[in-house]
Amino acid sequence: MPLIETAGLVKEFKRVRRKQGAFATVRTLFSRDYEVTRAVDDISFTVEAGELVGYLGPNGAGKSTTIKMLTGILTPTSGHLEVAGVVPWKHRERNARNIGVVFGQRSQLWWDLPLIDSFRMIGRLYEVPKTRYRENLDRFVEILGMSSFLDTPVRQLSLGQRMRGDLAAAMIYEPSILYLDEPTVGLDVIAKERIREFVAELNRDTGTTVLLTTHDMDDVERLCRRLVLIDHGKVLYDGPVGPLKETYAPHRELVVQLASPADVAVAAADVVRAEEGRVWLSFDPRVTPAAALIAEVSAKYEVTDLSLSEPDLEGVIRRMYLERESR
Amino acid sequence: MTVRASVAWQLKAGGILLGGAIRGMAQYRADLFMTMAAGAVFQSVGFFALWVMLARFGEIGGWSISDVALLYGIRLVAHAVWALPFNQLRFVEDFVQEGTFDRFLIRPVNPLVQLMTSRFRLHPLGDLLAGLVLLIPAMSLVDVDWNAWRLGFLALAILGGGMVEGAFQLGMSAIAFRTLGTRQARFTVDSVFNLYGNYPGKVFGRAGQLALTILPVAFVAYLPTTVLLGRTDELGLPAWLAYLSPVVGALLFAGSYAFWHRQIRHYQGAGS
Amino acid sequence: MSLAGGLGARWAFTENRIRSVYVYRTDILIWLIAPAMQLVLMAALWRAIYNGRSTLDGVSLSVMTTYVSLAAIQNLINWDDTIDWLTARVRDGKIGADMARPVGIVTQQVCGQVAQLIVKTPMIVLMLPVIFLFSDLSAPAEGALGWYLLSTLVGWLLNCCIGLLVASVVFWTLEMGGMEFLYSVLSGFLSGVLVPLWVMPDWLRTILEWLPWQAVVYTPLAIYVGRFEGTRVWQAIGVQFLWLAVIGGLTWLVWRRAVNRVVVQGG
Repeated sequence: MPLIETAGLVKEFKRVRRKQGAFATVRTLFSRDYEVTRAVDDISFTVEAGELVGYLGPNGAGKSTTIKMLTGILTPTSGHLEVAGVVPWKHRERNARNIGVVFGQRSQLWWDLPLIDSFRMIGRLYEVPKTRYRENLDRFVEILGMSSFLDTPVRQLSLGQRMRGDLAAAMIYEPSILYLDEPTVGLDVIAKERIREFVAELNRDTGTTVLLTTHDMDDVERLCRRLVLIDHGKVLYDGPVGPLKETYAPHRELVVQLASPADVAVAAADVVRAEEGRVWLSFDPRVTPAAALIAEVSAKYEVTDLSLSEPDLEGVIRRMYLERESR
Repeated sequence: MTVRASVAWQLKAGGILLGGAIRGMAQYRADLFMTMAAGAVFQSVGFFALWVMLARFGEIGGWSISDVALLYGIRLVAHAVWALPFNQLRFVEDFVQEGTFDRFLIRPVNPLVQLMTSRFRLHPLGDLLAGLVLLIPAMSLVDVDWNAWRLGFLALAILGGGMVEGAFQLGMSAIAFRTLGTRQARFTVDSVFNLYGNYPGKVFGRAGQLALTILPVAFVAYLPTTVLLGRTDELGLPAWLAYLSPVVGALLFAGSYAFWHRQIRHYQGAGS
Repeated sequence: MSLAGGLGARWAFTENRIRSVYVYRTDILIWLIAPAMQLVLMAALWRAIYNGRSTLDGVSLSVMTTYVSLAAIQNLINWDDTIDWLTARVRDGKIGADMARPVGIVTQQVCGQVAQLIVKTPMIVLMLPVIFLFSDLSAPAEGALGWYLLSTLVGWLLNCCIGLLVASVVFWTLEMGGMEFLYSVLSGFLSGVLVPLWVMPDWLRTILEWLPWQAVVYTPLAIYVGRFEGTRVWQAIGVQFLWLAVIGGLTWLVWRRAVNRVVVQGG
């Protein structure tokens, strides 16, 4: 029984064309002049308990809209939607108890109060038993290193500190599902790693199901075993990361540093770039194993250094979207 | 969850959230006194003007100044009774734009309760004070025998009157989900209640009185006051309607709440 | 700066302010709605008090309704957002930038007030249907129209000065804290917008007569309905000019201090 079930999900936004002039409000209210956008156009996928799923797409693809429907903020125009046995928009409060949400751009915490106050209030609102609350709080404070700013008002926290606070707040009542909407945006490298580490641990140790939307490919590479790619409100790809790479970017790159500049020509590989003795070679590992290529190049030319790179996910996805555009 | 359990939960959660709002309000204490004073003066200057007029000319539509004071006082207290808990309602648009309303929808508490408790603002106390200053002396000056029944009706009328006004404000907040820019409408509705709700509908002529009964401004204070003063025959309406003023208030508020609940479905979220 | 150049700069600034007033188009109607609704109320109250009698205490009903109609128009013209605007600029710290402009800060405020007057004058036309439906506007007393118009102009100038004077408080307190709202309500009553001074009890009327606000609204209205006649008219207008000189001078002094204070404190 999947934890999250969506089928034929559609969300249309009807934006009334705003009127200008006198009594604009009243006329707009009674206007029949609509603009309809289909932000989400027949999306179906399921998520089993314990999965860590990446939900990707360009801006405007419908990612946020989907997340908002899953969390109960928006009501779908049509389609079936069930999260942990609850229809989110119908039973918001019940749904709220099963989910934790972190919005990268906006905080869930109480702005004017010390961080610890937010935790306390959430503990009480979600009716977390006192001992569990204490245990979870202590654990999160330690893992996320928050003890130095527990008493600071949230409005004075740095972005990284606030993010950690938001994460802890989302998990302190142990929801079975965690939605992360751009959780690492604007953070420095160390902070990002800390967040990723926390999420990975959460998923691994407590089996929390995680749905992550992000633009940061490192987040995805680090955390996600499964990807759902959407564009223009439709699902483009839904499956493990590996096959995606193989299908859309089977090529790997071998970068060789030559002792002296030379024109490199190798049967099994294409020269992508050549600069001052450094040559980038692109090859298909299914046709020519990397080792074989390395051997060939080393035999023909004097190689002082070399490195092998994986296609990055970003490139893969970009290629995929480009291909889609050109079709 | 049973209805009773759910209401109890909302009250408990509201209490928790209100505690947070009170702790967070420390820095806004500064201009509280001024805002309260401004509100009190704003609401009572109209009465003062009428007092000056009647000091010279005696009565208006058969109502003496103390009769009008009773009506005025009831209306102001009813307004304050509604405004004290619900004064955050007018900020719905801002909450929507800042994305705070999104947050309300993913917590296990009624979003209206969360909206009400988002900030703790005491400035309607100014209106309450002004209302009591008018109401209490008026009660001793008018020709009314204050028995238990009348006092009970007075209390109900105040509650019901607050609910009439509240129903409109809640309705407009609900509309704010679909269109922004309800400021003009809100201002006009506020003004209608603030200006015309304080006086006997009779002074506006037959047409005016009818209009005020249909937009149910007259139910806030005018109709209940005619009951207390024993003047229901000047209404041109069946007397039992005036006796049922509090019920009208409750019905309007219930309807408005249902509308609000429905409108959340059309919520489009805060930009993306 | 040459006179023509100076005038040009001032006009450019005024034009800018007019445009910014129109940007907040939705709020414009609020400026109209409030006095209009107030007018409907006052006219109804007076009609109810008169209760079918055509004259009361020597004053006819049509005089009272004319008074409240004109008072509503005065209200529309006189109320402006100088205080609110200034408070906001000080709070946001933008007042420093305003002071650095080639056009003096006081001139800027005045241009703002002129701008709002220009915007609101056509709105008087929108008031007329309300007046004719709910109230009344009878002809001015004999020979009073010219004096009324002069008196209104002087009254408006006086109102601008009072507004500037009150607004300058914000340079010292940095926050008005709701006082601007209180002020607009009180000044309405004090100037006779709600109740004509001749209706008030003697003690109240005497106090008000010693204050500048009645010279803003009550004097022109009293002239129009013929309450002031003959030499009384010149006396009243003279008092208006006197107040204009006093308040104007005070405003100039206070603003000079205020500007210095801001410059010294660095905004």
